[in-house]
Amino acid sequence: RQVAIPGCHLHPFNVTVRSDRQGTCQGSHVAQACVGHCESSAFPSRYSVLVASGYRHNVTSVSQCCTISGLKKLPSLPRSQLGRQQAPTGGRCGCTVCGCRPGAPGTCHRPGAGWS
Amino acid sequence: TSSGNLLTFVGCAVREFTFLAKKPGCRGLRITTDACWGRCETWEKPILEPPYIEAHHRVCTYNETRQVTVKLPNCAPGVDPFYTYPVAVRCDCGACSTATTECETI
Repeated sequence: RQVAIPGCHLHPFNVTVRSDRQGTCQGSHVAQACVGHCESSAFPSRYSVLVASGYRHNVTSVSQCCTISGLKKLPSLPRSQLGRQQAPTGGRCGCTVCGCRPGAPGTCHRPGAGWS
Repeated sequence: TSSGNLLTFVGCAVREFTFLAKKPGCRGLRITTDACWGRCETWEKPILEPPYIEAHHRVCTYNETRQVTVKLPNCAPGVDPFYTYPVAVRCDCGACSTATTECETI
């Protein structure tokens, strides 16, 4: 069994590219995904958070997720080969914001709180 | 758990957490409790159709909790001195539920 290493790393996978839904012309290429284990935690919410959420959010989760950035599209290939479909590729990996980007919630640090 | 193990730990586990329970009109009370901490597998991969990225984002969060109520010290007259907080019984990697959780990201 492979041992997981903390962090966020490039991971190659095969992509099949088709010229149309019927797959008249198709080919494959290796693209890179980002896969990894980033730090996250959950703890009791501050009183101000409790009040602001109508006492619904009694837990606060602070997290990072393994994300990909700096994607580039492959150059167009001849229509006879792969049509106009372009596969994003390249990119960098990093532990950054989870969820939708941009506009994800910001950082929250709690003075006087900490892990043992 | 030693700090060395924390550097390489992968997964989601119950971990001791210390915080200051306080609310207006009372003095704070330092509390050590069980919360959740870890590293969950997350990934993103490029796809051919918009939005061009498929994401799998799971975070270490409470799976099972129990509630504990403490009495805060030196509360002003008329202020409810009781403070209730969740204690982690079990933690798991999962989606952050905005129904019960303040979901923040760094």
